Amino acid sequence: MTTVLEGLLRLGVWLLAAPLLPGLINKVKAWMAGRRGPPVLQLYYDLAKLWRKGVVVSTLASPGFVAGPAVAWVAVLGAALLLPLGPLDALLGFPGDVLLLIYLLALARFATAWAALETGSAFEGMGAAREVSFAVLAEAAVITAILTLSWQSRSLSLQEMLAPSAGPGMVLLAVGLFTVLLAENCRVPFDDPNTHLELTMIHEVMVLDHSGPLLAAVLHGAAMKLLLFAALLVQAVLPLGDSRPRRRRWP
Amino acid sequence: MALIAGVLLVTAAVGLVESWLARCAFRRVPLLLTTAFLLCVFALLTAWNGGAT
Amino acid sequence: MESKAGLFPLHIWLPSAHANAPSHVSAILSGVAIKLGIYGLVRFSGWLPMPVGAGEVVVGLGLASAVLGVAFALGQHDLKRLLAYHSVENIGIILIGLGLTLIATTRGHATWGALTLAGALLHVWNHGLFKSLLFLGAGSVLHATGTREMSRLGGLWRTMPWTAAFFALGAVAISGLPPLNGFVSEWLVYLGMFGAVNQPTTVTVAVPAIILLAMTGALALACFVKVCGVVFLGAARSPEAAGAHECAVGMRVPMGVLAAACVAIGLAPALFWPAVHTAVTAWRGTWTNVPTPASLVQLGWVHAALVVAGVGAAAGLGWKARRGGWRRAVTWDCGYAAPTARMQYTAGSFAGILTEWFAWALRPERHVHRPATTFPPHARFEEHTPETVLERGIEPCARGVLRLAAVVRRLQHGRTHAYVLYLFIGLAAVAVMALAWGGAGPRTSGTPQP
Repeated sequence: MTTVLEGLLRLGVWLLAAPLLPGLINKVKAWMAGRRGPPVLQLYYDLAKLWRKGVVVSTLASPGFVAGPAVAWVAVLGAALLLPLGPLDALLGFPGDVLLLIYLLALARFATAWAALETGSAFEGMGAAREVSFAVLAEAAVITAILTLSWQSRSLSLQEMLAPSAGPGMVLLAVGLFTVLLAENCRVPFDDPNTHLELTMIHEVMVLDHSGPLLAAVLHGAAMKLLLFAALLVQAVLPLGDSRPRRRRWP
Repeated sequence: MALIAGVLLVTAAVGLVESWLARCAFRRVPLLLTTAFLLCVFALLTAWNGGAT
Repeated sequence: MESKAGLFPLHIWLPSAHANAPSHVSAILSGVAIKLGIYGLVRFSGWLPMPVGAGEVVVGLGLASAVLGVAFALGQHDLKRLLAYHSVENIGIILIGLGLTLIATTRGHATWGALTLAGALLHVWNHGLFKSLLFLGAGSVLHATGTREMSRLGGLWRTMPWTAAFFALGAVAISGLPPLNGFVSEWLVYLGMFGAVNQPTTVTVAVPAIILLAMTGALALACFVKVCGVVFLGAARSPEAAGAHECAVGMRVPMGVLAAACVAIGLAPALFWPAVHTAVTAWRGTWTNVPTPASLVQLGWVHAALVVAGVGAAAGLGWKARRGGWRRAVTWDCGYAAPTARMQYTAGSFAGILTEWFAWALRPERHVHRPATTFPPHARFEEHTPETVLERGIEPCARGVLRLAAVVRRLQHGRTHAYVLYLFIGLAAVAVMALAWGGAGPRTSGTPQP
């Protein structure tokens, strides 16, 4: 019973806390530029507004156009629930769960790119092509970071890997993972979350034809992914976790 | 608590980097990602040497 | 055996053979026939003493096959050729696992060696399942439209919903994504490889293997997003694609069975572990005490939860979208009044970034006709990825050999007196050789003096 309650609580935290991050980022950017900027809770208002709106769907789109954002959202949420939160253990931890996390994010990518190609639009094809191409390099960086953590902790389960600090290569790993975070979450040097029609577009252009609740699912999923990467980065670098030795190391 | 502080720090860092790098050209994307990959490789090598000694 | 399995660079026969065979035969060829090479390799490596370094060589060949196989697949415009190149890739993945197992046996590391072998053997099965599914899907497309050229297809989901759904499932499985079977076997290989990382003697092989395997996975994902998007989604690019029809029930049933098998292995991997374990112990009798990875059970639960949550979320979102007001409109495309099918992204342009990165290996042939002057009359761009190993490596060599042979053949002209002359020349040469070098022979290297 407590496990179920804890699970629900954790789900609630992930769902509710995630949209805060883009708001904070925008606030910092506005502050840097000397503007006042949108309210921190802007994404919450946007999500509420989008959820109530109707949907316009391309005449070419199949049911996969709706399933894509849903599957991507579920995959990101699943990946998030595999992550331990500081001293709290993950909801479900087993050796090899870190690979499941990476591949769940890949599943989200597949679903998003699929939904983008549904519309037959050149712009969305372009965005999807860029997303899946750059993911190849990002994947290499992430798996190398995982290798580092696995080497450090002699383990392959997130709880044990994220518990100690990243050791001597901490700064390198932090910068590397931060770059991946920027790329995977479409932040500025790679993409610009504010523009839809610039040449920098990757993720934003993939969701060009999504509207209403579909767009809400996409935006919320993106916010969760940002929170996931931020939490992963912080825990990978800093010794936050519960580093009690556990029973099994290898499956 | 430390986790929350860390996440907020990362968020602020994203905002700062965005303001700073806004004029970066798109064609540097693969280069930046390759740099990230190499950084992780160096982190791995550092960890490896640290573990061996 | 490696040539039979279609390993890079001995894969040259495979793409054409698999692409041009009838699709159900391609399914058998890709799913079963090339596995005979793997079977032979597994059989003999379990029984014969392996030379030192064999494992490293197999891993290296497997990595080359995996990365270059998927890179060549990205450059293809022909649906079935593309699938055939993915067989090269998957054979590579299997051989990475097998090679690491060979390394494990020479080093005596049973724990992770059994995992890589289990992963590789399960991947043999999985590849047979999803590749056959994909080839049957491709066959159904070929049957309905009469073309394998991806640039002539598009929008087929409307007329062929079953084929599209089964093909999509196969695509998710072959990209190694959870919750399907491809992920289970790749995950087992990964578990074994991460075990190898923790051994100082094997880390130098395992680290590059892991990084390249991860990149292969991302490349395969890119390739199958491309295939599904170009063939089944968007608008039809030709009248043949527009006039397609769903395949008969008799063609749908085998696809359904294969898809069900893919889902079953994905959702309940622990059920299939005993079979894999039997195979592993048959290969190496001393590895009997390898337990079921407990995480395999948990993985199955996560997969099941994922399916339930995914289906639930999709249904919920669909219901919400329907209820909130559902309107169909032409694709927005940033303000075009009438987007046409020709404006869609094509297979070539989708894979363009990645084929550019791999141009050093693919050597694509480009024919560019840039638009010029104020009113450009026409412009065209063509790109074609040849079978580079065959056309740039083997064929020039073979041509050279043939040319040499043609020169030599002039000696054989059927005139007997000339042949007699050859005999004399030969005898004279032997005599000269015997006098020049052989004269000293018997004295120096002859029978030892008593």
